[in-house]
Amino acid sequence: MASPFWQETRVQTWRWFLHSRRRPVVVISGLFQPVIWMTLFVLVFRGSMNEVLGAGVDYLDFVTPGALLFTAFSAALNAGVPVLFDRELGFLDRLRAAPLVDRFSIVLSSAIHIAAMTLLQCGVIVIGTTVLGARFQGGLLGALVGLLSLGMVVLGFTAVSLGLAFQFRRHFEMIAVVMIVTLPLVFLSSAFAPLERLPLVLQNLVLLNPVTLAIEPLRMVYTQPDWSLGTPVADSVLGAVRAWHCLAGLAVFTVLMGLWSRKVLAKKLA
Amino acid sequence: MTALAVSGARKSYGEVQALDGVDFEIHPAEAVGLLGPNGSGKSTLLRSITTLERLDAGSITIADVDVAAAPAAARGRLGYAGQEPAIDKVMTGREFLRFQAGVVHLPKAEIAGRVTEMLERLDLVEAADRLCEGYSGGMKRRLDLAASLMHRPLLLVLDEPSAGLDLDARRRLWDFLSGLRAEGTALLVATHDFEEADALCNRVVLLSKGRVVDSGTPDDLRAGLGAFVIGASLHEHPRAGDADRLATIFAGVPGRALPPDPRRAEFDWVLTAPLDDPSAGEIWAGTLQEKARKAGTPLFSVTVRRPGLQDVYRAAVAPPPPEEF
Repeated sequence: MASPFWQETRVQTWRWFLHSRRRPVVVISGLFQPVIWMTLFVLVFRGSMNEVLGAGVDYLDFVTPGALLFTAFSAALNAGVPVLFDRELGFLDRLRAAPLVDRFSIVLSSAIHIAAMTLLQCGVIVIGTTVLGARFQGGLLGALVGLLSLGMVVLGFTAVSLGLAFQFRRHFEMIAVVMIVTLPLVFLSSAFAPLERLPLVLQNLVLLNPVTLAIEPLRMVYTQPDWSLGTPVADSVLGAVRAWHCLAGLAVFTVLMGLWSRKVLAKKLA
Repeated sequence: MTALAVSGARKSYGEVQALDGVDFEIHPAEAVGLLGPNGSGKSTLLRSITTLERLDAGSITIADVDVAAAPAAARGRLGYAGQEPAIDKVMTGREFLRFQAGVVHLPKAEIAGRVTEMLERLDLVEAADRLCEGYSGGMKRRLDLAASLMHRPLLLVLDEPSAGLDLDARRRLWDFLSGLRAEGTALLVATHDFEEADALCNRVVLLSKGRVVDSGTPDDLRAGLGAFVIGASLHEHPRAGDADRLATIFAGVPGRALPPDPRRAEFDWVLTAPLDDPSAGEIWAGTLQEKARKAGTPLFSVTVRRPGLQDVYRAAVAPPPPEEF
């Protein structure tokens, strides 16, 4: 027999999947947005960017990790919106008044759903870009590094989003904030253009962006067959930034956001 | 064992004292109506009982379990149906009850049977496999109620259970809740509907400004108020000075005036004597008409009735001021 915690987590996760199945427009739009962006960027910038990137690197290979990260990041940043709707409609109070053994199941079920949907969306992008000619170079270990990177982005930004869902009172406030922060975070990253093309000051700023910290190791394993965690992926005022620096920075971000959201949720769900 | 015991409950939000020492109990198979104007502390009290808020002081126990010390255990003993049905419109009725069964940890082997039982009891079998977004208001409320009862709670907390329902749906809901009570479930019903409180509850608690101002059975509360209520008006709609003129006309009648309600033309007077003579109200009505005619201010209407819960409520909790534009 399943433990009460897993029973309540499972049934809440099932509810989120049922929503995705019955309202597929959310999943489809989450998939189409990065695909459209990627297509436009490839069509517009492929020629000029291939010159910048040099021989051996195609812009499609370069931009695919950016699209994957953008998908994961967008999905995670919106994870709190359905929870906020539940709050507004009184559904969250139903859960809070129910004999849940741990209200963390409310958060965990949402995170599991977002992670699974993101994986599905990323899978579709990988298949689509592979058909178009993009090739993943990093091998099995590289795939694990890529998944680690994507996973930390999903966890970190899901934590941010769920924390924000309990800070705002109305969903339109949260949607406004999500819209405002999405574009700067994506454009102030190396999602669609190489870091070297940015002014030096901006390069250092962009390196503090968790989206960049996730993209660089993912791009490394996507485009380089002979990668290692010590491979330099960018330059900063402090010297070369290596892949493990990015992963460590991303891990710190994820842990900090997790702790912050846990604090918020402990207070709001108490 | 008490189903619910509220003792010295206090809660404030900044300067606002929402609950100011509330005490009352509910025993198994009892139904208690919680009446009070907006802002009287009803919602805060319900949210505290259902563990959605924490008291500043005092205690609440549900079936002898302290909600502050063991909130999860307390939640296992209570069901809560809020003012708006908290259902998931993307699910079917059956799916929603299965969801709720998982949330309250029913054993897997019991879930299908319990879901079917609740669908049957709440008359939702035919709609069970349709999406809830197509349900009528009454069906949504019944589904919400079914979900609140999945784990067979000892105490069911209801906030305005029949709000928005038509007369037939109200009656059927009350019959269902009365049946539930007969099975031993205790009910706490917050309502603005005096008929609902009268039909459903064996006891009523009147709340005003965060305090219990009166409580008892509806019959005891009515009897405690007086024998008759005489309502008189000088015009069809209230006019300035009417209340003062009517007070003069009523001078000498045994009893007391109910707090004025500026929205109503009637000046209501609780007649306290004689208590047992059914004709006493009529006699006094005739006397008042005569007195008014002699004073040159003939009555537009005069009615005599037995006191209702709304009169008890009005005597204990003055009506709110009219809305300002």
